[in-house]
Amino acid sequence: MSELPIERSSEGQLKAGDPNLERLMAGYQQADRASAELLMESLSPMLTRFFMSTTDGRQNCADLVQETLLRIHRARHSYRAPDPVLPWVFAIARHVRVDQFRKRRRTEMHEQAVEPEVLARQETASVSGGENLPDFDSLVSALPESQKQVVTMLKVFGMSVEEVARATSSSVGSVKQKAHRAYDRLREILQNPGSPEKVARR
Amino acid sequence: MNCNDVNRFLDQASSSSPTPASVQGHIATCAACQKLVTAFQNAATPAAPASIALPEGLLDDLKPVRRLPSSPMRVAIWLGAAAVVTALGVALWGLRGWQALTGLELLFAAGSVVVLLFSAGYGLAVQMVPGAKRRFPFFAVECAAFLVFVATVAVAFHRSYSFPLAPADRGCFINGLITSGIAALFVLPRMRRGVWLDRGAVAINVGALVSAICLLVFVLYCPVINFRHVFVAHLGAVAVVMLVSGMVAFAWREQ
Repeated sequence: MSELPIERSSEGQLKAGDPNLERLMAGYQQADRASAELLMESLSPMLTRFFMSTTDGRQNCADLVQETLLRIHRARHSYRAPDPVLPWVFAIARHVRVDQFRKRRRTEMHEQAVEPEVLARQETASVSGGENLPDFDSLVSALPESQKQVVTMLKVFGMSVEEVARATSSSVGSVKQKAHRAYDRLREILQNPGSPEKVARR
Repeated sequence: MNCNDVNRFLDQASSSSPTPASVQGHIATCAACQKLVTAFQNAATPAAPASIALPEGLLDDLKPVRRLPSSPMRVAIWLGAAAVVTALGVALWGLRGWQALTGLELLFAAGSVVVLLFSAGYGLAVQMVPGAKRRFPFFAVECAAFLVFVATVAVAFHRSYSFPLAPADRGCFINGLITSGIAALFVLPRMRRGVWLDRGAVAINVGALVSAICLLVFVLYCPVINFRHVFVAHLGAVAVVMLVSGMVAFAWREQ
């Protein structure tokens, strides 16, 4: 199997627009184990960050990342070089999250709630406390899920508006609208740091 | 320069891209924008997430894969299935419907069905690849094409016949269901290689493709140019197809 010379950035991270991702993916399709391992290694932190930025993804982030990697493996024949890899990856990740949400909702429908008040309090603490969260994640946690996803893809993973539109199966105009609403809301939150929930409700 | 201009700049800018002087000028005077831009500059800093182990045995049996074909070829896959079923329909029942229609009726009735067929085929070609580029909103085009077909029938299909239409209604309804069944037999095996993420939407789109094939066969073979007949028999069969695809969509989505 041919070995692909892979260059990494100074931080060791691969990002959107990095041609290495596309080359790694092409190697993965040709059954190059080294490329596959390196691609998975590069995608894991991105996927972790992506799921950590969602409210329901935080509790079972590791499971979601593993499930996404599994689906990437099964769907690898559907990637077409030289298309960007990240929209393809995040389209899969988004649906893993949606499927997980549906599965959990179905399970919860058949389960009896145990001390709902205590659980609700724990949930609130884990979401709004945010001691362990990086600044950006706690900042965007007040945004609606769709805006949070768009801003995370744009600003954390450095994806372009077109790439985000592909990953979220929406139009460029819709992505821009969500991003602009998110920016406006974040401005308000940054201006009134004491009450992000109040601003988010507006 | 105002906050909206900064929003437009933020759409394009990555954390490492330089800030233009005009944006810098606004940021110097606007505290909210300044905080926002700073927050985004720090956003790309890795959050040092815990390393996640790969699913066990994932890469143990790695084999080369055959990539999916290009976008035009994927559209051709679905249109090929439609062409085969339409040819079968013409071979069985002939082209009397095509011959009975006037030029304008053909343009609107057959034209709208062909547009419905193309957009459903294109939609499936896009849906079988995660994150594929959508060049037009195919669901909206499908709905518009179907509405044009219905409007054409309602406005132009007003011929009356001396014989009772009930047997023709029954015959066309059954033929519609047979055509749809055969179309499904040609379409469903082609779904094997796709990666269907939004399964509900995919099931609806398959229903739209099968309905379009069914309507095209009707336009080609059925010589009865009467809106009541088309609504009861042709669109009745299409309604059954869409009902089934809606039920499959619900069940598949909740799996």
